[in-house]
Amino acid sequence: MFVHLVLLPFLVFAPMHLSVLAVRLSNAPSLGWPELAPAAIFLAALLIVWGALRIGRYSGSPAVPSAAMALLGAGIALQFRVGTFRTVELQSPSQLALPIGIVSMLAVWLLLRRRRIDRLEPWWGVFLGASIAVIAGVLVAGHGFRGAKYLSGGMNPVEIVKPLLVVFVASILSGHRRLLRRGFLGVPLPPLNILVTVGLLWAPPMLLLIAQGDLGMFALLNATLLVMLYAVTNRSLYFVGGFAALFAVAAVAIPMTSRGRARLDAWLDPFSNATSTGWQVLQALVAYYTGGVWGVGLGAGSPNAVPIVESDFVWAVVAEELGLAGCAAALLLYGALVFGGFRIASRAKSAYASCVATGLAACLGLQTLLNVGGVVKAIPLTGIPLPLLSHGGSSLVATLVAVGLLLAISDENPPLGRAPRAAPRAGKTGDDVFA
Amino acid sequence: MLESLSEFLAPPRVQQVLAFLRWVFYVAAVALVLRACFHFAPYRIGHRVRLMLFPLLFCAAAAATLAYQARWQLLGFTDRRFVAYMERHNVRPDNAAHHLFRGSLLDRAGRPLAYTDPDGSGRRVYPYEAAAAHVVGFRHPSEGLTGMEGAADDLLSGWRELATAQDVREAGRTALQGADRHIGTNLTLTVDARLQLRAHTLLAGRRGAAVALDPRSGEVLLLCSSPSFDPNRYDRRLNIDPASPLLNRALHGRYPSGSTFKTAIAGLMVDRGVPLTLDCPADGYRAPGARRPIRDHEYYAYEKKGLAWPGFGALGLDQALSKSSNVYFAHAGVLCGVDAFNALAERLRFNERIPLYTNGAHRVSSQRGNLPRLGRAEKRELAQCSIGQGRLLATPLHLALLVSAIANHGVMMAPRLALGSEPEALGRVFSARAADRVAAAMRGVVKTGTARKADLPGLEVRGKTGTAQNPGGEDHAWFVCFASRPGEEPSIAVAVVVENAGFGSAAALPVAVGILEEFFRAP
Repeated sequence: MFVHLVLLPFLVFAPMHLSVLAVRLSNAPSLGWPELAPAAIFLAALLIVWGALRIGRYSGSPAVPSAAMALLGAGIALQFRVGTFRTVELQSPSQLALPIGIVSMLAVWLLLRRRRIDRLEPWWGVFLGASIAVIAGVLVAGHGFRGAKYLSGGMNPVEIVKPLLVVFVASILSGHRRLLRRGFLGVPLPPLNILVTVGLLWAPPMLLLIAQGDLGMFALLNATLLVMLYAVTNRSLYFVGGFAALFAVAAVAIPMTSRGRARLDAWLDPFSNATSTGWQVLQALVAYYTGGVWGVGLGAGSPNAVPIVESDFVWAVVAEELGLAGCAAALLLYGALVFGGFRIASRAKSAYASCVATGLAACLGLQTLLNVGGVVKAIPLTGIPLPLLSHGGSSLVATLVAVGLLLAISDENPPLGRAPRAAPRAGKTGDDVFA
Repeated sequence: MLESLSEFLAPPRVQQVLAFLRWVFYVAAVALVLRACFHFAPYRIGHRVRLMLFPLLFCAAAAATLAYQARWQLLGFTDRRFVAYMERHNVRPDNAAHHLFRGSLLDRAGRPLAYTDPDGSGRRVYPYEAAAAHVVGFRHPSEGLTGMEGAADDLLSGWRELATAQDVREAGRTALQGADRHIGTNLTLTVDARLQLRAHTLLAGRRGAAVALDPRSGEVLLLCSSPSFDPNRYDRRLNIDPASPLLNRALHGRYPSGSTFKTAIAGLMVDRGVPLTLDCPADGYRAPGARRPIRDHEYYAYEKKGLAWPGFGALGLDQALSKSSNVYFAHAGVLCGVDAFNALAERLRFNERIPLYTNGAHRVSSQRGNLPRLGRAEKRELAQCSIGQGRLLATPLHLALLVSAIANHGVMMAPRLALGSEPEALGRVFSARAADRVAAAMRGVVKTGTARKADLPGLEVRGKTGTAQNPGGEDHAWFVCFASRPGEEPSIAVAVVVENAGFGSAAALPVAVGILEEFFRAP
């Protein structure tokens, strides 16, 4: 477990950090403690997570925490490189996001592991109410900035509704999975009252998100819902038809808002709007070209040519300075996270836990694809941050809470030797047992 | 210790260190993923194994995204618009697209106005610095290409010659990767760098513009705007400079034209057959419907001294233009009538953008002026417009075109910036008789009237001063003229405006005279 949770993530982080330090040192022979702090902070986080999992006798999959920690380290190194990870401003809420995120991840895991997550199933109303309250609160109290709503200090707590809504909708879907699976000749024909119930419960947060203008989050959560629906019912028409409907809605709704139209223009023909709406994505493309296959080395490029590069466009830093190979490596890490998440879902003992894990893994994967697809101009920009790499405290906390939930679902067996069992298990069952 | 480390990491070494660290990152990431996958032991068949479809879908989508990214990251040179964008907007000092060797912009005598530094940096050099900045334009990452650099870009960068996708790919590859540079085409402009320099010197320290045209062909000899900037050292702060040095006043500055517009009314009078002798009493001319009369400048000058001005009495066209009588031309405009005035406005194209260079969708053109289409009842406004006030606004180019039409016997030639293109007429503004009559009157202005200082020896200069009242403060000073050697056709028409500088004869005239001297100076 030490190799998974401390050694390898640190080996992903360390060369990135050292690379930035090497570039700075080659420019000027000065190095202060703020430059070394990211390594210390990340190492401390790794040791805390590893220590907690070890003391708590975590027996789940190592892939998810390992990939998540590696991506977290890469995110710290990237934010340090573009100058947004500043340890001198410890009092600001965005700098507290990392400790808060780590603590909430461990707390979620400790509270909900060993199948205690199943006890959440009847409490779906609480999660629905909480997410509605969060979105409505931001809608009322927040102020607009760059097309999104924020609370004071640049916080965007709407991010937290991702795990909340997944936990909520998993109750509904897994509870009604047999009814939802009903169909004829492969065409799902669930009872109307179930459909209406699901629709009516799902509609309020979605409508609030639209009212807030957060179409990216709307698309992400609906796509997550479709993946969960398909996973629960095994009716591919939910998946195919749902995505078709989502595309149709997007094709109609996006050109109706000025912001949506601008993003559509910037996607379809950035060169005609080169100095206005197309500027950010074209600067990112230039950064990719500059990077080539191997990149110019972290710290040695000029990714700051891309406006607000630390946020949604952090991919441009990876592409320019670590090259296409670095992008492939980062996508591999995301792949491990998503694979691990779905694997946890496939092995979960209860349908509910499986559904939650499916939703969380799908949400992480879709977020990655929507972000990377947008910044390489494959799809329109959605304004969704890259999980764990982009700047943003609320997103970091929300992602770490999702990872904590996955840990809790994965860690479902009581430790060997302590729980009384009728018969000893026939050897190790592979990967799931760590002690 | 830090110093020695820093020395150890001096530039060539740091690249190796970075490469090594990069590889550590790649290997660590792959090792982590492999190690995680190693724990993906066999699945329990039949137990929600279909969930594994989703990570496979994720991998497929991620691979497709990465392939699309490679289309830019590795094959960006196959897209000419992308290469062109990089050439313009890449801020990196070692911009790959600067291997694109742009052609030069030359003045009419072949002097380079803009060229690519042959030292290999791809840097664009503007040897005339601020003097020709507005017409030549410049390249800067945050602004892209402006002026002729922008409008003629596909020619200068050579993309226009490339017809097939294969050619574009090859050119992109050599431009971005090879030592063989992609060579663009040179473009020769009609402007004269000597005139640019002279006008820039004469306008230094003031806000204004100067335009010179060849009235016979429409070739633009001079486009100068002041204050200017050095295109070799563009700075974003220029955008917020209150003197707006980036504004090309010669094409985009809109000013009331003042008395210079009286030349157009004079031509209209001759064409319409209106009596050329009008009474100009001291108490001015009151257009039908106007509350206050339009008076001559002299009335106020006398009033200031406590004297009563007797008035001009009956004035002929020559005297009226020499003395720049407001009463005369306000009255004449109303006599010509609204319909004739509107038709003149159309022929003068004051309400149009005048293109100087067109290259597909890219063009260099002037701003619209404003010569309102008047209604039948707007006699008061007609009187105001006839003396170049009221709602009338014109760019220096529009007024240069007006005088060039008078110089060219009534035919207005289309202005053009690229040397070698066919001369083209924009249309006849005045009859030849009317134009020649006005020209004779303008000669009188220089000989005996308000522009006596423009009477250069050995030249026949015809001109008209203007002092334009404007709501923004002090009057704008105007001078328009054209000149020829005796017995020859006029070869240059000039319009000069100096903002908030008072009398046209004092501020704008010396600039025009300097331009004429430079133009007729033996080379």
